Amino acid sequence: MSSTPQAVQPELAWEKPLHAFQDLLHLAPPVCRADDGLMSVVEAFSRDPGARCVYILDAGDRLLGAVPERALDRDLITLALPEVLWPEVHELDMRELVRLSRGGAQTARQLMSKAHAVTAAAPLKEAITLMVRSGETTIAVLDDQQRLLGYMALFEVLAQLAKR
Amino acid sequence: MPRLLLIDDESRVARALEFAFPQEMEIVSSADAAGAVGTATTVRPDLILLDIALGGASGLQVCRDLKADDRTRSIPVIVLSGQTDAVTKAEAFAAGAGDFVPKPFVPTELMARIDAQLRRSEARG
Repeated sequence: MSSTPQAVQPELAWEKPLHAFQDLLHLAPPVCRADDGLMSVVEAFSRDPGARCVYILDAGDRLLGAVPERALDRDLITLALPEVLWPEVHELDMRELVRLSRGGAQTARQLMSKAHAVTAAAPLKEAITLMVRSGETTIAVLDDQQRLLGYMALFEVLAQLAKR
Repeated sequence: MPRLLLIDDESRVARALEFAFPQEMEIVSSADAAGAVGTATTVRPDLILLDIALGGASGLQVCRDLKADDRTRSIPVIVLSGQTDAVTKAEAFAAGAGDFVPKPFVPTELMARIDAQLRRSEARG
């Protein structure tokens, strides 16, 4: 019943489907729903900072979007620091300052943006290409019904390929 | 094929397990924390994967209940939880868990930990 990872040549690994990489998948990450508040998103992020984002799901567990770490930074400033310090610790334009002074984002829906995703049946090269081209360091992995299974991290994938 | 009982109120966790281990184990899932001892008695799993935050119920109390009952005491329990602070881990072991695996989980690691628990359980007879 062992599932010890097998040594795979990088050029072959590149073509294999994501579900073959049992040592690189992070399954069942913390998630939020679109109407969850900022603190729920922060709490979910705190439980797994390695994802670099919090995935937002609908009632059927399908992926709606993601709240990236950098989006949380700005809104956390309004919660953690007095208003006079905001411009000192973060480069904010006037529009952003006005938005934050009105209370910032209230729900995950307001914070989230498009999430880059691939299905578990996609080849590894598709996941790597998408992450590199989008500048994201992680990518959501979905089942064939577009429900979130977990994610993969670019650094881990490349490090494993380099070792192999 | 070992039979695992997953006690978790989020169906996506069962889905992730079934995705990760389609051939390696039989997975029976239940969201019923209050009836966990009864479910375990009926299902007779080789191992229990237990979440801590079970809606309004505490997985830690479920673990204590499983370990207090003669019918389920010998079934190894692995806590599979998104609450990964040191206090929670310590409480899980104090409640009788044999291991603690954080969510999200990496299938290779979870399988190795399940294997280890099953071997220990078998050695104890």
